[in-house]
Amino acid sequence: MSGPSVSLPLAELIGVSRRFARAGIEALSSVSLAVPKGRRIAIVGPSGSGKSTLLYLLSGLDRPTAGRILFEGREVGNRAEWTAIRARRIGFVFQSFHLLPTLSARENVELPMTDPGLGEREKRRRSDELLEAVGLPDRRNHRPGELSGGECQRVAIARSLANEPDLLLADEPTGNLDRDSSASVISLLDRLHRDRGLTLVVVTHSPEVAAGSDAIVHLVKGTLLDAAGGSGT
Amino acid sequence: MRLTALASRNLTRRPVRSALTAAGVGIAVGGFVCLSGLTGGVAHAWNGGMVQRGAHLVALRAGSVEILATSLPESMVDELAREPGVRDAAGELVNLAILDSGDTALVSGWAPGSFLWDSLPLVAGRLPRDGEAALAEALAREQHLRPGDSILLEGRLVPVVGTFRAPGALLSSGIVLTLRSMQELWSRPDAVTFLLARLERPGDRAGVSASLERLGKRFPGLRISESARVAEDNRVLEILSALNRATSGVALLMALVVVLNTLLMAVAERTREIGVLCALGWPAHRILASITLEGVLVSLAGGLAGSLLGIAGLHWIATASALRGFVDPAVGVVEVVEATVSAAALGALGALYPAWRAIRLDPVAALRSE
Repeated sequence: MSGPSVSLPLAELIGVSRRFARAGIEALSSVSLAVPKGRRIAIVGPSGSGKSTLLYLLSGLDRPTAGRILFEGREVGNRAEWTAIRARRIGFVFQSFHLLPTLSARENVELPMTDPGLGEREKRRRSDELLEAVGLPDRRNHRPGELSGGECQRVAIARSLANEPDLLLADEPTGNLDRDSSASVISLLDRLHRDRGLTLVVVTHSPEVAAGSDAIVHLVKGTLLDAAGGSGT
Repeated sequence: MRLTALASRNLTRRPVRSALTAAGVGIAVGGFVCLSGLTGGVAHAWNGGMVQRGAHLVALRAGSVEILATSLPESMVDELAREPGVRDAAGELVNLAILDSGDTALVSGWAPGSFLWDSLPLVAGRLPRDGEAALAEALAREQHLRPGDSILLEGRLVPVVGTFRAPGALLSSGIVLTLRSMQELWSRPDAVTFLLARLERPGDRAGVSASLERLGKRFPGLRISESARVAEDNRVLEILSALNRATSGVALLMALVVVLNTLLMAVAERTREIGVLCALGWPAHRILASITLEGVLVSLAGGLAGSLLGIAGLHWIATASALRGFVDPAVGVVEVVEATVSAAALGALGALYPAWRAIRLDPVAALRSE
């Protein structure tokens, strides 16, 4: 990254490989990548280069076949521990939004709020606040089928922020959007990163999305080519 | 949002499928309620019938399987009446008669002067003497008979001299004759089906138990019980009950498979959503609970509807002429709650495997699934 940092990276891959034995594919090969707190990193590369796999590994949804994954400097032990980290510390934004079609925008945003100490009223207050933050206060009772693609992605972004995560992972967040919607989502992610100090890792094909990142990491055939800003190896 | 809300939304996503699943559970639970209510209703009718006759104890031939086919000597009525603690005793001969209309009626024969007649409130006419009959009001109305008409019993025309309001289900399609007439008509001289006794102190529980024990020793050939429990240990009812349990068990098992199949389909359809929930940090137990709840909700709905359907069916059976008088539907709120809770448990059981499948999914593969 630009300039030395004394603090531990929020998340870190050390010599991580991921091989899909059945398909005979090595999606990632000895990748090392540090994600410092509060930074914005873009991961770019052609289709099939292992970008999404890298995100899944960073979030603990997938396990590496070799190497270590650290969260706040500590190797996370098991699936349950990763689940707890994802619930409280990591937000996820997908290319296809992945909103639950039977739920309203507000209910979708409430979905990650699984803390039993959180009352229904508090959940509602938080989700309304988040929908307002993404510019959709009047769409809270609409279902995904009644929203445009850009609106759906904003709801998905609001959902990813439900538990005030430290790390936001976005997998092609503008991949299914038109130019205007893309611009609006990019500007929203920019604002969240800036205003909330959110650590952002964005997988993208889009130069617009990658622009303004603290580091741009290039992945080709599962290998990091370089890291503008020096976060990868 | 609450898990129950999510589960119910998921169920309404496929309303026809969910409704059919609930119907499957409902039919099974309805069948269970109806069949068990039927057996219970027969027992209830007999127990209630004996109580309504004013008897405290009822004695049957020990080891009898089919009550109506058994006989005791009429002379035992006096023997029983002489026992200490017994205020008075009566004998009753009971049989079934096929009427001209093809309907079945329960015919009882009572000795003139016995306390059994006290339980018979006349609506019209008078009590029968030898060679005459009194009919339950409902039966008389249905057969278009009034005092002054005659009824064909065992090939003989018997004059109807009175109608009575049936005290309880057992006599609701009943005919009462004198004991002598009954013995003649059915060629069972000096026979009674059971003995009924009134005790001097029926409220004294310890005294009743002591009387039962003493009488049991005194009359080893008899099975003596309190009138409210006469149907207990009845072999026919036990067999009926076992058959009902087996039939209901098969139906409930099929309902379980229906729930399982529905939820397996739901999990397969929502594979990607389950992956999303994993990505959002839903722990496995929450995903498991969500899917189990779907099974519970759909089965609860089916169970409740099925219980009401079963009760309706039971009442319909109880009023059908072939069974009227033999079934006193005794299904209440407790039985409905029991059946509904059982249905919910069945739903939870049926949901376990699909829910287990869901939490075993590889989240990345789930997210990538179409």
